[in-house]
Amino acid sequence: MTRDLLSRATLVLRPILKALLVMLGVLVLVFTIMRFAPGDPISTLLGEGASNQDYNVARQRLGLDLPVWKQLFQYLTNVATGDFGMSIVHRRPAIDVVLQAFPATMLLGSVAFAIAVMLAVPMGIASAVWREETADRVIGIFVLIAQTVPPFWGGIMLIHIFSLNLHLLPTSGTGSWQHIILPAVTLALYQVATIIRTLRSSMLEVLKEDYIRTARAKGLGRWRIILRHGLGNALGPVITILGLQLGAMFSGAIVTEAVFAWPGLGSLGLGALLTRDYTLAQAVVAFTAMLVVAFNLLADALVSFIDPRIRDSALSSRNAGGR
Amino acid sequence: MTTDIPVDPIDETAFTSTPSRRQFGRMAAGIFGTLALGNSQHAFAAGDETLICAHPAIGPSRHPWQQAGGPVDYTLCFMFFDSLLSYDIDGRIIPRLAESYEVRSLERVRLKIRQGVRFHDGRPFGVEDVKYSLEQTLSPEATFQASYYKRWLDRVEIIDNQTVETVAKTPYRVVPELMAYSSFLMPVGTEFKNYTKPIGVGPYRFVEFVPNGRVVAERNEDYWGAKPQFKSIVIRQIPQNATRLSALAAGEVDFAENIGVEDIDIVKKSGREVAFVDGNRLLNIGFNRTAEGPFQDLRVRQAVHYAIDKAAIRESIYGGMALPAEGPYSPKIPYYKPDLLRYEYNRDKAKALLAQAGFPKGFETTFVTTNNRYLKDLEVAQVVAGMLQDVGIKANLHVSDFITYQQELREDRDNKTGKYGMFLSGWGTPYSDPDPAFGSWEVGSRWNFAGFNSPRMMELLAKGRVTLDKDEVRKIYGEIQEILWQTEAQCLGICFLPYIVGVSKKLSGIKLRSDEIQHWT
Repeated sequence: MTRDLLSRATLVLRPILKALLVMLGVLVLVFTIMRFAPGDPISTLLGEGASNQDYNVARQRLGLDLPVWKQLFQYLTNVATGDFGMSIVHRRPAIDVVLQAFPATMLLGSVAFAIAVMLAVPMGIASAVWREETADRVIGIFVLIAQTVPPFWGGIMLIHIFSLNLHLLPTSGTGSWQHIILPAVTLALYQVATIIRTLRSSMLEVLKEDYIRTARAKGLGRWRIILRHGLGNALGPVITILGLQLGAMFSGAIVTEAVFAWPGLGSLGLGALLTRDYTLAQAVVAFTAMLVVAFNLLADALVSFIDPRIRDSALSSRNAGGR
Repeated sequence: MTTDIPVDPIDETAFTSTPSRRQFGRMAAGIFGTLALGNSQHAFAAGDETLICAHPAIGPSRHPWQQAGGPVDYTLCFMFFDSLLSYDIDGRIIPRLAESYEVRSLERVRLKIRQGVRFHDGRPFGVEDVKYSLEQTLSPEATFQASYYKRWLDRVEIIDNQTVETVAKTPYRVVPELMAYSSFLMPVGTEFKNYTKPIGVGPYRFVEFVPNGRVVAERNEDYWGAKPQFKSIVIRQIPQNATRLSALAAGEVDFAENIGVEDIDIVKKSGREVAFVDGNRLLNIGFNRTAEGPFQDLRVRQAVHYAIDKAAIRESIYGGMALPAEGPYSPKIPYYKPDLLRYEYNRDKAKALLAQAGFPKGFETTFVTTNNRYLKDLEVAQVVAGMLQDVGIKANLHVSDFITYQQELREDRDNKTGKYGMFLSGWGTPYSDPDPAFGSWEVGSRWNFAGFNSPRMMELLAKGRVTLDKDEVRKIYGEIQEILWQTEAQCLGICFLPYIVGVSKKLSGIKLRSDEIQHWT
């Protein structure tokens, strides 16, 4: 009984511990790299009238005159208590600044994700089912375009077509549901390509399996087989990929946000880097790392949940104590 | 370019209120139009419209003494806080919340404060608030503009309930000019920490601020001056040039800052207008003076100056919209010396000078520049490198982002490593006095990347700060300009950067300020 409980507990704790380790690694990396990059945040703060003395005073107040390892240690101990420090440029707690920008990123990421899935799943299925036929080839060209169009150019082209010429949608900013469409489509474009390709190859694998042939022999309808048995079994790799993609989308689509003046984590992070706002940049990276890790954990959990083969084998191997 | 006469906001308490306010406004505007006291850039009666402006970046803090950003942040400060004094469109000091001022000595400036004004939250505005606002510059939390005050301000004395007097710790001439540049009037007790809601006496009150997004303001119906023109103002941040231009062309914004010269046609084709003004920012080349090298020789510096075809740069890169630079600061700033040496474009002369200096075949050097920090900075650097190649100087471009650029140049200067021979920079004169025009060349200034040291110039600068007699002052700054431009040839001014904006019909005929700040009233 306790062994069963223990093994279930380990199943949950292991990934969480791994996640924490990843977070620690990310924090240390970002911290060190920023400190060794040329420049510091004080120049942005002080401006043209300041003297060398003002500069030294500011440096001291920000703790930047301490040796790097000491600053790192102090930072990590603070983070352990939930204190991500004060944004040097915004003069507010860094985590507050991050949390204020997060909803915008959340919104953009969710809508982009929804668009990507709604476009990609039917197209992925179609290209697998009608492999090598016209549908597949057309979708293949679309995938190529979607993968190669840089979001910067694509975004501006969309603005030109839909805002300037057709007057259908706003060019940039936030405010209404119309404001989300162009940036979300731009952000979704690359993801659509990846999802289609993954789903297509996964479906092709599954459709070759014996149980598909069995189902057809049993006389089940074609589309029922494709959607229920085919898609259901093909989803595993797709969900894993989606976990990665979602993490990337939520971590701040820097270019898309810049093109559409979208006030999310991407704009925030970019600004923090350009002004060398160490604490804010660290907070943005920590937060997005957390999101990426969380989404991947979620994806892994989901995959093992929906695929009974993985779920059962994982549990049974632990129960048998066979490690 | 427009020729509208700017109109001073009139005090409408003299008239009966509401329905006919608009009529009275227009009539009074007509009457007072000829006085041209122009704080306002635009002859326009108050209405119910919303003004939407697009700028590349809005600074993260709304506190008047923590503005680290660009001119738009000062535009916002003026909207919320107003000022004691200000400059009109021609650079003259005009009264605002300070009805008058008197320079009593190099240590004391007395100001008479306007009565009957209230803050946005209803609190009465008085001398205590003026004292508090100014003395906040001395706090270690106050940065950027406050550093100009820290140099001289000791305290503010309250003489009576209508009068304050600033007291300097060291004699300083440039007090009214500096105060006319700053907008900072806030209530006593305003903290630096968690400053999220600006409260001042300005024409617009704060509604909301979305960092990296927008600032929304609404008309202050109880404003002490003429009824502010717009019902509300939205200042939007649109970092990408192409997007900002599109927003203007699509009619989403009424004002788009930093339009490129190449986009002017697009703006016009979309039915909008282009307005520009010569800014105060000098695009210039500096020479490293801390390490051994060709640039230590005056003739080499002169040669570089003669080798650059400044007119071609102004025409081809700035579409003819840049004011020529014939001195270290703009002719719009007082005490400008108009008869400095003209470095006409002359390649032969440049080559001759180089030969005299011992470089008949030229030499190689590294030329540092930023990219998109100053309008067309990289393009100018590339063109200059090409022009120098013509006279035998091989200038290898080294491009960095602004912060890295500062670090690299400062390290090179402090360690005297001589890695960078020349650099492109932009130095603006923030207010209408030459004193801050020389920060790039002052010993001890963080912005003196060249490590330039002229004891005579430093002596004169110090003297200029403590001399009141105008003729004396003129002589002092005249000599400083000569030193920088001729005697030392350390300042190679290429041109003054234009400030180009696109506007909708709502702002047709707008007159822009050289300091790139808008005083929306």
